[in-house]
Amino acid sequence: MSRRGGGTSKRGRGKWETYREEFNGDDSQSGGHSRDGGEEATSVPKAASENLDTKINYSKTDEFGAKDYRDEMPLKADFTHRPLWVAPDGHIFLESFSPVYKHARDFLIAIAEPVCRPEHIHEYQLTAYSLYAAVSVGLQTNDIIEYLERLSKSSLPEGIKQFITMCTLSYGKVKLVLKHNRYFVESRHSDVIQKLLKDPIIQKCIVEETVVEEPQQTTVVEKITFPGQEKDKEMDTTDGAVPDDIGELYGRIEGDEEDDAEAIRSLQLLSFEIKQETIEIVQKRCIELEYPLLAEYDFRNDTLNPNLGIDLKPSTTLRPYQEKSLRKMFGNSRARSGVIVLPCGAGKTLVGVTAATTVNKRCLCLATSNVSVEQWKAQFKLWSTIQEKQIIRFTREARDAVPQGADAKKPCVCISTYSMVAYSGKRTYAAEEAMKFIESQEWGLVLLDEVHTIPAKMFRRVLTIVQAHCKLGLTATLVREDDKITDLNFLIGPKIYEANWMELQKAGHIAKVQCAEVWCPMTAEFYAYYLRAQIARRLLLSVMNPNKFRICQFLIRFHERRNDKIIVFSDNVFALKRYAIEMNKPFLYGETGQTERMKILQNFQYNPRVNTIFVSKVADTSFDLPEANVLIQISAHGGSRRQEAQRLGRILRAKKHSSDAFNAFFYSLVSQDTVEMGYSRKRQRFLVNQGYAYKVVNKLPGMEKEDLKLGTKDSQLQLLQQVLAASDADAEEEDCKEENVDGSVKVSRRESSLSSMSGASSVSYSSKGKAQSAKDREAERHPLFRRFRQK
Amino acid sequence: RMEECETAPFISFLSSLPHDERSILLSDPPSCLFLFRLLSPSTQSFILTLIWESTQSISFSSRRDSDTCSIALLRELDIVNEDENGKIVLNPSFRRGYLSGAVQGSHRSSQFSPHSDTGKDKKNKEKDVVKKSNERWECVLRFLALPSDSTMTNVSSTTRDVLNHAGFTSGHGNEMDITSKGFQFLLLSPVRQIWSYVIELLRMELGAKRKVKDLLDVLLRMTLCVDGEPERRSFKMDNSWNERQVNFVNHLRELGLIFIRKRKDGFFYLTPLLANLCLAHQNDSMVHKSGSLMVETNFRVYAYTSSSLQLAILSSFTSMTYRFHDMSVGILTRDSVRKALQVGITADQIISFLKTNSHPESANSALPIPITVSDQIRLWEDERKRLLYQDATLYSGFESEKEYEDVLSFAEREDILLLADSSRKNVVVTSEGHEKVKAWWKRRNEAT
Repeated sequence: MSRRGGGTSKRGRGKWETYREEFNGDDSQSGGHSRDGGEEATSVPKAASENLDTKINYSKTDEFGAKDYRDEMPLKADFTHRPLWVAPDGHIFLESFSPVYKHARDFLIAIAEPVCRPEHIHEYQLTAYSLYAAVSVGLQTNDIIEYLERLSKSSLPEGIKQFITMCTLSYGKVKLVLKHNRYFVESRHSDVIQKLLKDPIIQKCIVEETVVEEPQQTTVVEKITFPGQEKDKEMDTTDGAVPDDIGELYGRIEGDEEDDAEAIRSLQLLSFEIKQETIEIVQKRCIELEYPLLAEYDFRNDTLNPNLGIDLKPSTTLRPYQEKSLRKMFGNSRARSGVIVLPCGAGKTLVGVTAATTVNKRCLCLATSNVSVEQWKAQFKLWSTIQEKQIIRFTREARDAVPQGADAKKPCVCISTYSMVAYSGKRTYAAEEAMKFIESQEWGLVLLDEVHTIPAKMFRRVLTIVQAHCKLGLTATLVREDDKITDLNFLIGPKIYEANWMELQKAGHIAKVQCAEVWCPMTAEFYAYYLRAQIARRLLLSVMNPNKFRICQFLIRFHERRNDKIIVFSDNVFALKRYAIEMNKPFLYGETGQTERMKILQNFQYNPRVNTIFVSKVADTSFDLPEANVLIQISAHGGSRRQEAQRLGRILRAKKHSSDAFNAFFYSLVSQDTVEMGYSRKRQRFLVNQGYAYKVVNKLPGMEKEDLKLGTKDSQLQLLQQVLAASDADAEEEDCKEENVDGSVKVSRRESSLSSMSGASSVSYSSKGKAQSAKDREAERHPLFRRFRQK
Repeated sequence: RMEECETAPFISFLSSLPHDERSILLSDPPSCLFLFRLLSPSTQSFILTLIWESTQSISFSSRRDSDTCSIALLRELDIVNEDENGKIVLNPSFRRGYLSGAVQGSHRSSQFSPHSDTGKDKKNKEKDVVKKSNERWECVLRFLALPSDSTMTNVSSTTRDVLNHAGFTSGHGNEMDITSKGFQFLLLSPVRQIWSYVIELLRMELGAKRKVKDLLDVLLRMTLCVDGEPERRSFKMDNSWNERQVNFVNHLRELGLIFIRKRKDGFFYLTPLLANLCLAHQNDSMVHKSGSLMVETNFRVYAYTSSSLQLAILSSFTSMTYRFHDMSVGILTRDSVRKALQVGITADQIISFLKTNSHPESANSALPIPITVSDQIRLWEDERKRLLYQDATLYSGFESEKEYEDVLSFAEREDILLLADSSRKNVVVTSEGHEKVKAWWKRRNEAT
C-alpha cells in the first residue's frame, strides 16, 4: 500500500477509478485533463483547443429545456430548398432527403466531424480539427463560410463565422514541401513568410538567406487518375429544386483545386529552404507560431529517391469511395499526409496499396500484428504488379533477409509491426540490422494501418525513427477512448476522408448486418455471488452465467445449420477456454503460437467441418476472415466503442449473396442486471451513430427444444464452484501480448513475452531485463497489475 | 364480452344512456342511420339480415359464432331483443327509423338545406375553413397542454368546464394544471380525441341532469352531411333550434367542428374535423394530417413543427435539445420516457403518437418508427413491471423442524405458498392464506 502514495496524481489513482475511466470511455472531446506532460502539449496549436461549446456559454433555453436558437437563426425565404441548420454551438443538421443532399454531404464531410448519420437527418459538428482538415485539403476560409451560408436554411450565426475564421485563418497557409530532395517552406502569403523569416529559431534552420520567388509554374501538372468508375455520375442528374447558387458551388468544391481559387493561385509563391535535420524544430516552431506546416510531398519531382516501378494490375478497379478518398489525398498532384477513414471490410488495404503505387517510392507499411503483416503482403501481390523480391517483411516470426550492399539502395515495400519499430529495449542482432535498414532509408510513403489503436507515445517513437515524406493513416474508427485523436491530427495529418457506413451498406460494398443485443438472465445462484463480489469477479460471473453459455451454444447451432461461419469473441481468456472446450471448438488467444494461429484460421477458412472459432481480442483488428458472417460476443472490454466497431468489422466484408436481406449477424450477449448492460449501451454508441440499430432480444424461440449443456442445477452449481475457485488473474481480461500495442507501459505478467515480441528471444536477455529495471518498471506498471504484485 | 368486440366510443356511451333517452334516439331516422354506420361490417350485415329476413327473427341455434359479438352489442343497445321463443327480434322502431333514413338518404334525413355559395374565390374560402377549424381545435389542445393566461383567453368557459369535468385538468384559474389523464388525451389520434371530447361533453350534460337528445340531434344530423370534402358544403342554419341547441352549435364552432363566418350570415360550413366523427374506428384519421416527426435509429426525434402544442406533447416523453424556427430536436432517453410512464402514459400511447404524427418522409419508408426504438420504449415500460408487489405474511422462528415442515406442506396443499427458505426456516404465504393458516394452526394445536 505504501507504494500507492507516491508518484503523480495519475499514478496514485485507485484501481477502480482506472477501471472506470477505461471502461466508460466518454465522448468528451475536452481532453484537458490527460495530456501527458507539459512539453508535449505545445505540439498542438492553440487554435486547436478552441471549442464552440465552451465559447458560447450564453444561449437561451425554451420552455421545454432545449437550446433556443430561433432569434439567432432567422429562416431564409427559400429555406425548404436548403438542407442545413447550422446551430451557433457548431452542430449542423443535414436533411438526407434533400435534393441537394449530395452537395452538402461532400462539403460537410470535408469541414466537419460526423456525429451521427442514420437514415433521415445527419448531424455534424464543426471543430477546430475538422476545419484544419478542411483547410489542408485546399478549402479557404471564405469558401467555407460562403458555401455553408448558401446551404443553410437560415443566415449563418455570427459566432460560427468568427469560429471558422479563427480556426482556418492561420491554417494551411504554409506548406512543407520536399522538392528535388530539398525541403522548402512554401507560402503564397508574404506576410506569413515574413513573420517566419523573422523568427530567430527558424532563422537558424534556413539553408541560405535567400528567399526564392518562384516564377509562376508553367509546367502543366499532369492529373493523377485512378482506375475507378471514371467520375461520379450521381451529380449529373440535377434536380430542378436545387437552388442555383448551391449547384454552382458544388461544381467549385468538387473540381480539383487547381481550377478553383484562381485568386490565390495568382499570388506569388514564396519559399525558403530549410536544413533537413531541422525539420522537426521548424515544424514545432511553426505550430507555436500558429502556422502549422502542411506536409506535402511532390513525389513526381523527387529524383533522388528511385521509383519502385510498380503499378496496379490492370484488373484492379477501385470503388467510388476508394477513388474519392485517394483523389483527396493526391488532390494537387502532390501527396498529402493524413488519415483516411473507411469502415472495416470496405477495402482499406486497396486504398493503401494504390497510394503506394501512386507515390511509387520506397514504402514502409506498419501493421498491428504478424497476421496482418502477412495479409498486407498478400494484398500487395494481389492488387499490384509488385515482385516477390520487392517485399520485405520484418516481424518476430517471419523475417526476410535485410538487403545488403547494392540491394539496400533498391526501393522496396517493407512491412512490419508497430511494436517492432517502436520497441525501445535491446534487440537481437537480426532485429537490430532490420532496424538500421529502416532507419537509414528515406521513405516515400509510410502506411499506418489501424492508426487509432496506436498510442501517441509509440507514434512519436515510430515517427522519429522513420524518415518519411508522406504519412497515410488508415482506420475504421477515429474514436479513441483516451481522446488522443488530437495528437493523431498533428502527428500524421488531418482526416482526409471519412466514408458513410450506411451508404456503403446500401450500395452493397459492405455486408448488411443485423445487430442484436441478447439478454441473458442471470441464474439466481450466480447473481447471489455477483452481488457480493468485487468488480473483476463480477465481470467473470457475468460472462460465465450458464444462461449466457446456453444461449451462445444455441446461436452457434442455429447458425451452423445455416452453414454460416461463426466467430465467438471473448476478452476473458478463462471464459474463452471454458466455452470453447465445453463446446469442442478451436480457440486462439494471445499465447497461441503463430503457426497454430495460421492453422486454425486456415481451417476456419477452408475446412467445412470447422465452422466456429473462439478468439480473444487478438482478433479485434486486422485479422482478415472473409468467410465469417456471424459474430457472437460473450465478453468485451468494458464500454469501448472502438472495439465494438472493430469487431463488427470482422464480418463486414461484403458477402456473396448480397440482397436486401441481412447477410451478416452480430450478437452481443449480455447478462441481465449486471454491469454488462451499461457497458453494452456505451459500446454501441459509435455504431448507433453510424446508423446501425441494435435489436434487443430477450427470448430466443426454439431454445427450449434444443439439448443444451448446463441445463441442470447441478452442472450450473459445479460451474459456479469453478468460477469462484478461479484465480484473480483469470478473472481479468487477457493482458499484454504482442498485438496489444497500446503502449509499452503495460508489462506482461510473463516477463519473456515482451522481449520476444521485438525479436529478442534469447534467454540471457530476458533474465537480464528482469533484473535490470524491475523498479523502474514498477513505476510504469499499469495500476491494475500493481495490485496483483503487492500480494 | 364488450371488450372483445371493438366498439366505437360513441356506442359504448350510447349503451350507458338511460333507457328512455336511448329509445327516443333509436327511433329517430338520422340517429338510426348514423348509428348503423358506426357498427362493424359484420354487425351491419347482421342487422340487414334481420331487416330483410321475412320472419324478422333468427333463432339462436342458427347463429354463427361471429355474430355473438354483434348480438351482445345490439342487445346492450336495445336494438335487438329475444322473444319468448328464444328468437332474436329487431326492435321495430329501430327498423322503421333505419329504413326511413336509408330511403331518404343521409342528406335529406339530416333536414338541413344546402346553402349555395356564390362567392368568387370559393377555393380560397374552403382552404380558409380547413385552416380556421384546425386552429380552433389546436387552441383547445394548447390550452390543455400549456395552461396560461394567454391560452385561456382562446377557449370558452364551457370548454374549460368539459376538460375539467373529464379530469383532464385539475384545479382552477392560475392553479390549473394538466393531469396525466389529460396527457393521455393529447397523445390520442385526432379521431379518438374528438370523440372523447364530445362524449365527455355529453357526460357532463348528463351529470347535470340535462337531456342530451337535443344536442345529439344537431350533432348527428350535421355528421350525416359529411362527404369526401366536407369543407365544400355549407348549410343554412336551422331556425327551429332552441336556445340550448344554439349554444351547442356555437360550441361546435369554437371547437372547429363547424365553421361559421359571421353569425348573421345564417349558414355554416362543415369541416374535416367533423368528419372524424363519422369514423368508428379510432386509429385512422380521415383528415390525413401530414405529421412532423422523424424518429431515427439512434433515438433522436426531429420535429418539423413550430407548434408549441406539438412540442409540449413531445417534450412530455422526450428530452428536447435544439429549437429552430421550423424544426426541433429531441432524444428519447430512458429517463425521459420513464418520466412519462410514471404519470401513467403507456408505451403504446407514446408509440402510437410517434406513428400517427410521423413525417411523410419517414412514413414512406418501411417503418415509420424504427423497430428498435419501439421495442426499447416497451422494454422501458416492462422494466418497471419486474417487481410485483403482493401483500403477504411471513412466518419465522419455528420451534422445530417438524413445525416448519407442517406449515410448509399445509401452505403447499392450499396453494397459498409464495416463498419458502429451508435454510432460514422462513415461510411466506399470501395474505388471504394467512387466515387459513391461522385456523389450521389453531386446530393443529388443539389436536395435540
